[in-house]
Amino acid sequence: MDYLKLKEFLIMTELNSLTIKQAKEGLIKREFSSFDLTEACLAQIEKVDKKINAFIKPIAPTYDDVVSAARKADKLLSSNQDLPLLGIPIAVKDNFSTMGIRTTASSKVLDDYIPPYDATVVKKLKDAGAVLIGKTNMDAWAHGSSTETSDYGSTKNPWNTKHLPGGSSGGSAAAVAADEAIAAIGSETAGSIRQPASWCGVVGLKPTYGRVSRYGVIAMASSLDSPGPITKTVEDSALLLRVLAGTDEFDATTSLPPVGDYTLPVVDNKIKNLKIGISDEYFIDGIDKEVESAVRLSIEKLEKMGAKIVKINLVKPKYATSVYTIIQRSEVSSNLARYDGVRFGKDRKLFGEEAKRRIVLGTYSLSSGYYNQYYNRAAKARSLIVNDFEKAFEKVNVILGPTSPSLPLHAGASENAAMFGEIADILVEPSSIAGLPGINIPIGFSKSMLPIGMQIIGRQFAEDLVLQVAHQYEMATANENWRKKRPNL
Amino acid sequence: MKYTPVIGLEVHVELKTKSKMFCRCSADYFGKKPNTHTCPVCLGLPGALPVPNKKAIEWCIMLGYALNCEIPPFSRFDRKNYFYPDLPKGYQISQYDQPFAVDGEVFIKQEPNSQNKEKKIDVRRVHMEEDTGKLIHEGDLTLIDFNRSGVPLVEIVTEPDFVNPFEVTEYLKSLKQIVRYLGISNADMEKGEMRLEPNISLRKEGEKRPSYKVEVKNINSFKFVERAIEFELARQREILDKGETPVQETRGFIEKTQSTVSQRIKEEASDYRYFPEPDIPPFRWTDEQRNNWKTEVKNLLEEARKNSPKEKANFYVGLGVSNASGASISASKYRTQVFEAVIKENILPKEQLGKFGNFLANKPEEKIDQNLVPNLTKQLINQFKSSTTTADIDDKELDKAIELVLRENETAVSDYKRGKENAIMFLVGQVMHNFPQKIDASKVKASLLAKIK
Amino acid sequence: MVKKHEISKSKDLIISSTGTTARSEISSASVTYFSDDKTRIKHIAELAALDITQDEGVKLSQQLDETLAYINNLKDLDNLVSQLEPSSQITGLENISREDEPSPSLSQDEALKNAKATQNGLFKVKGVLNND
Repeated sequence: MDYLKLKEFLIMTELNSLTIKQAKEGLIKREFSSFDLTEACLAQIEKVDKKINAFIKPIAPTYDDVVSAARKADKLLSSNQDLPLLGIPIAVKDNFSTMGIRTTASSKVLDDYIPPYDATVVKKLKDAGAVLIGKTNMDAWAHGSSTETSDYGSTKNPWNTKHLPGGSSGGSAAAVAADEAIAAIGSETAGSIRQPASWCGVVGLKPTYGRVSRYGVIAMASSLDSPGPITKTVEDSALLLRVLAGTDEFDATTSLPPVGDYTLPVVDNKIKNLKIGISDEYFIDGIDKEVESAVRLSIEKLEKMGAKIVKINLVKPKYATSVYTIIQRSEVSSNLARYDGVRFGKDRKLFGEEAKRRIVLGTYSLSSGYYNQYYNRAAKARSLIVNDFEKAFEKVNVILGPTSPSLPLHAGASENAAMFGEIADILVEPSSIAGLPGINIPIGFSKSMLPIGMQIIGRQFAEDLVLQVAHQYEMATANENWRKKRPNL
Repeated sequence: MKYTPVIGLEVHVELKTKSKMFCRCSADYFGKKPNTHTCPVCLGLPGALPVPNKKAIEWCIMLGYALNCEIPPFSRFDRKNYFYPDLPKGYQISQYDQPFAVDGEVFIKQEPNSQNKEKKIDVRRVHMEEDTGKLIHEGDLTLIDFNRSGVPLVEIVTEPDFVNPFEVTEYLKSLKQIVRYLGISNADMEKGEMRLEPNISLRKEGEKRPSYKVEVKNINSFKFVERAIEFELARQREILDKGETPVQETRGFIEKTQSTVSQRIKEEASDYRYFPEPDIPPFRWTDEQRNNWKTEVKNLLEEARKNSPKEKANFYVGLGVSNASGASISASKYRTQVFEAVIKENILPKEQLGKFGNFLANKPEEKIDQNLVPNLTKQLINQFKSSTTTADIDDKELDKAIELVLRENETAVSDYKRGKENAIMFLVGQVMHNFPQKIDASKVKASLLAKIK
Repeated sequence: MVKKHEISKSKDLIISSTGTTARSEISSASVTYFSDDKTRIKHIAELAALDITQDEGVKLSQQLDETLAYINNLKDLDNLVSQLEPSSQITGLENISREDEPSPSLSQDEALKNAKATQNGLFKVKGVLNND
């Protein structure tokens, strides 16, 4: 079969649309090889990425290196090696350092930067046998919720290319939604996994801060950044989390408690008598009506499954937005100081508008005379928010709400706004500030065929419960018609 | 107009840990090929994170106790933000308002003619930070070596209690001795292991505090400390005499001209925008931990003082060794080892220890493997024994030789008679030259003296 | 000279699903700022080593004000937070450190690989004032 026919064949087989779980089963049963699986993904990338621009170009690793990795995986598979991600093509957001492979954080400042080391997450993926298929596009420096601030062109929403995929992990979310990769890795500072997952109709998990090592992740806001998986199903999310989580000697803020089992599917019914906290504050003024009704409908479904809905009062999200804006931008202004073009990268002049905006506010709020009024005040309010959640979790097991107050916005929506990113993420900022785990799961579509998602938040280290609740909801709604839809690319 | 010098000191001490402060690169960077002791962390690459060195922190706290500081139960690291090519991250991880040690004191010797024997210097704080890379200026280019970037530094800040250069050098000597006794640094100024930045002002009569202060940098050697301070005080005195106020600034000491020069000043003081280091969790010590460190320091200092070269030298002199030899043996780790082994194991009879000590003192310094010391000691003993076995000589032969030497060296004889003690040893040597075999030098000396008189 | 400036009362939350251009939620609070915006932004640009043109400076200054107007809502919480300690970390971790054991470093080549200019194993940069 000649190469072009092979590609068509592969696209027909739709191997690239499998989940990690399905792909693993198929590989073990020898129904197909990692080479087949990888080629299917590469073929899909070739077919659709010119429309959605989810990957940084030129795609790296090179075709030859990717195929070589797939073949190595096949060799190991044939000798019955059992690694959690053996032979599975995974895309990685371009703020994760990959040794010998260009890493840009979607900024021209790092246009030619090639890290001499792997991020811990990347090392873990490699050790688990994954095939790195490409680096995904993002908001430059992860500053945003649209992926429009990328210096390499915006990523488009696979469901409607006139709309944004969300951000900053827009490339990773779009790549998964468009079946260009079996799964992807993103990072969230406040919303950057959950929000694009919501806008692209995929599963995105932000683990407890410190659960996954930040070593090698180009730092945005040090006390908030959390690497996490973006996947097609909740089960895949749990599987990936198990690979990524753990203490790291290279990251002093990684958690000490042992990594949970995160085993799915669950045996007993976690939803029965589960106390789900709902805060009216999260159905904020101006929330999209379709988003609100979809989420409220999902809440009803959970009630029917036996959950108890408990009304809770949480600090108004707009205060969390202020806390987040100040602390994040302060840390950003410091973390971006190393980019002086001397040891690596290009001149600081190449910082984009958004980066400059954030550095300005951050520098301002740390400067003498303003520190108390801004940084310190925000840090105290952060304590308030942490306490607020602790109080809430005395009454409930998980908290639920919409992930994004809007449907995916039109391209161009983020331009020239003073605080676009922070305002778009208003509903996810509180949990990020408190370091809590949160997952976005898709719950349906709007009339205009744009994805809607909802988020489930737990206390620190409650990933297992959050995943189980999400998984059970996913299973209970498995036959809903909207799940059969695929992006039309 | 009478002015009183007001001098405060900021001293940086480089700790001799095996690895750097926030990464595992070897901290033994001095003299190594440039940029061969770096990693993503100390090079400030994107994504790198700091993990603090436990030993460095413990040593900083121990130094705090050695300086009679209080060790607060809670402390943390902060970021000091500024741009400079030797600072890879664009910020230095340091400590701002919660350092490891505060409120200590040191007692220094005062000048011989002063009222009190000792003076108390208040230590404001002792904190940890990371060192920067090294800049090499070549014409209009600047070259950077990051081997030193990230090496652990302890900063010791005193109150402005010093009034003259003598006190400053005494303080530095004490500090150097303390860090050596603790085993945490060699504090060699020439190697940059101890760096001094004095703040120097003059207070006018009647003023509560000086109205300005000048910081002096780049004093790279002990011998320049006094000169730099004296120069600066004189310079400031001259300005004040004119009725003007010295500019508040940072000046650099220039070795060649033995003077200080102004370094370009920024109009505003730098705003370092300190904030708590988010990448490193804070520290909380228990009472037990702090008491353990305090005790360990007390023991180390006591042990070290007991074993100080001065104490040892005195002990050796007590055994019959000459003053010079005593100093020579105690200054050398190797010679001390050999001598103490000989004493401990009763290898030589007690009466011969003095002679052996003098013999040993003249042996070349050896930098050797611990394991070889016993063998080398054996060799030395054998050499000593054969050299001290003196041949018997005929008294008549000796007398003849002595008279010959006395006749031929009248200058030396009259030198000795006039009080030049060394002349007698010269004469002894001359006598001994006449004999092929080794003879007893003290016998020769006694006979010579008898003859001269 | 200090000018008082009232920022327009647009209360719409940015997100409308028809996707019109986003606007921040701006309260009707008045903001005081120095009419000479350039000084403030100039000072910040110096501290942050940023290259900012005149036009950029004007825009950034305006946006800074908009952002400050929003984040000043934290004043509402002052009573609640006055007794609280500031949290700069939320892990609750303490006393994290590592043993003093060295590991191999990058080779000189690896360390210099991404630099634009080097000389004899050293990074090269345009002259800096001899300020050591």
